[in-house]
Amino acid sequence: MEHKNLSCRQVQEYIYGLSQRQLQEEIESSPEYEHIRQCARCREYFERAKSLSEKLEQWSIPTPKRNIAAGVMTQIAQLERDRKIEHFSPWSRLPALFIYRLKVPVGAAAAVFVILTISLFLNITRFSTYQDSKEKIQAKTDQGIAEGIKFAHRIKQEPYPVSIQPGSKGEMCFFGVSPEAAPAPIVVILGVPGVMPIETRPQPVSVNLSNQSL
Amino acid sequence: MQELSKEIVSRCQNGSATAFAELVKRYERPLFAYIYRLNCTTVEQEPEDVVQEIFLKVYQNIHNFKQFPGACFSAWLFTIARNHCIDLIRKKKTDGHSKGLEDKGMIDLAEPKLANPQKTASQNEAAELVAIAVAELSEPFRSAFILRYYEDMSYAEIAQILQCNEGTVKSRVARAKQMLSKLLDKIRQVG
Repeated sequence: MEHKNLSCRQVQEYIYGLSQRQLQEEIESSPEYEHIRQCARCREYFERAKSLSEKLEQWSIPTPKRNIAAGVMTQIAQLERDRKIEHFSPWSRLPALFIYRLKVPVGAAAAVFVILTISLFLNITRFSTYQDSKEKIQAKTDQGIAEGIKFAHRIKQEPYPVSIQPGSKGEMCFFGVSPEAAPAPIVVILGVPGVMPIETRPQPVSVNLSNQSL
Repeated sequence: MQELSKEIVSRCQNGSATAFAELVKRYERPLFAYIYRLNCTTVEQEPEDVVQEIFLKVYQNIHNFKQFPGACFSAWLFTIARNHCIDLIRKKKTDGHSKGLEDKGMIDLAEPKLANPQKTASQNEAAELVAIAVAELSEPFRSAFILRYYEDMSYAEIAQILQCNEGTVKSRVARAKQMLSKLLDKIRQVG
């Protein structure tokens, strides 16, 4: 419905504002009021709005039971007193110092500490692993020696291009075997040099072939 | 709502107790009215206590208020107040203080706050009915309506407080009025 170029929707948008106006002349002089007078639906809407405004107007606020401002200022004064006492104690101020001033250096120190701890832990683990595996290495070395002896006996019988250096008192050194010709026994005997720490690497051994049973 | 001068806010941020006292004096009444009408307090708690708690929060956080062109201090203050009240409403609900429209006890709950010997009985009754009806609205509608209707804040200020756009505020206020109208009719029928 349209009266005086205003739609019901347009009028209802302003109806609550209109219902809050105190003076009757003010209401009657508004462009929306002409529409309200002629439109039954908007008139009912307006009456409801007016009734609501009247009720809402009656909802007044009581006077506070006590002086709020005084209460707030007393609490603030107490707060400031507590803060001053806190400032006198160096220990109580320490957390604030950490948070606001030493944030970056403390963070960096903590990071270094963590890295060092992890590194130390890993080294200890590696060291203990090497300690634990000493026996295993020894066992592997013994096995390698046995393999090497077999190999040495074989190459004595076959025409390999190797140089076998005789040791003192008839002993034979395996590291005298040319790596190009026979790398496998050397690797077996010496282990894996690049991985193991020097102190745990098996030392080159010399074996008296005459005492070994094949 | 009349805005507090930037100079007073700056002095408060620099720790001036006199300036803060001025701030409290300026907002004490509107804040008390907002808390009272929002009905977020329990029987054991007075709106005066809540207002005091809010002012303490404001004091402790005033350095966080950024004074840029167009910054509205009252909107910032009422945002703190509203967040505090939302916590209280939640607490009230979990503690079982919230009562429905059909619960007759709600009228008794509102009575001591609204009692005023200077008013006529019919005025008291109407005010109580409005209080009950407003309390029935959900918080975003309640806040939007109270701030607009009673605190006379602009839609832009309310939008800042409720953290939504102006259009949403307008529709919330309009919807709140419609709901209140219906609720008041319903309450009258129940009564």
